[in-house]
Amino acid sequence: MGDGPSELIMLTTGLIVATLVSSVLISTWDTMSQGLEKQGEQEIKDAKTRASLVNDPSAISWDNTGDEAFIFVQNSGEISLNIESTYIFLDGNGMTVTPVDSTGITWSTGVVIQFKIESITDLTFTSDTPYFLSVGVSSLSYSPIGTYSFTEVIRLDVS
Amino acid sequence: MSGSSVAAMIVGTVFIVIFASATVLMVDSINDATIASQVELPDPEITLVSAVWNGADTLTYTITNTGPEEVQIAHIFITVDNDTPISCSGLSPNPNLDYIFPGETITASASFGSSPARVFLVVFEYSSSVAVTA
Repeated sequence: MGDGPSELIMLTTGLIVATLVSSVLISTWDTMSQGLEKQGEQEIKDAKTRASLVNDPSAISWDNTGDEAFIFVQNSGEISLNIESTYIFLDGNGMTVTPVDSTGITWSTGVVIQFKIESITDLTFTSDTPYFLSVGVSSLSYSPIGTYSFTEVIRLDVS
Repeated sequence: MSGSSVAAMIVGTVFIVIFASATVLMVDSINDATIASQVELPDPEITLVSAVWNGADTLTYTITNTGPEEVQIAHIFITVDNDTPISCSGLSPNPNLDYIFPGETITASASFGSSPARVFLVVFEYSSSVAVTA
């Protein structure tokens, strides 16, 4: 190992191997870093996206004939929501959701939106029976989209 | 020291700098990820103290801000029985206030046609309810 050319070959080989390994490590590191950053942004957006039920959960009017009700939801988060991306389930049944008296899709913090919910299929509910109402909302801004959903036990006042 | 040893030292130092930079970037990303748990959402606390029915057509509410932060009155909603929720900014007489500050109490009324039983107040994720008294 004392002669110059042999030492140079060993050094060159070592450098090539070290460069290749470093490239792989740096690339992996970068992927992990980007993944953590995106996950952090998503978690922050989700944490700022909130909504809450305004109706009295002990008595929400439901029309068994028209299979419809009016649900009031407040944006209780820190960022604006997209009105049109709201979804509502009543007792596990997906509802057609139509915002009432609202213009545009922007739903600012603190604002209450009235939604008319209708069932496509014929549903028959009874008064004084607990049902699960699930509401999901999404943030107005993209990349990433914040989402939030909540479920409450409600009692219907059936007519 | 031979030339190859010096070259190896230089290359090694460069690698260390690269890895150190990558580590710093990674730590920044981890720190950003932990910010999510520190997001402070509005946390109002408005207590519905009483709801008094005058026996004819008026329901008078008394509400107090029992929380630590001021609350925009337009964000407070009241539901009487299963009626449509109304914003407290629509009560009469209009409080002429945009906000209710911690410790403040507001008394206001709204017309209501039939004898009510229960009033439910909501502001963001906080709710409060009382039985109506005559």
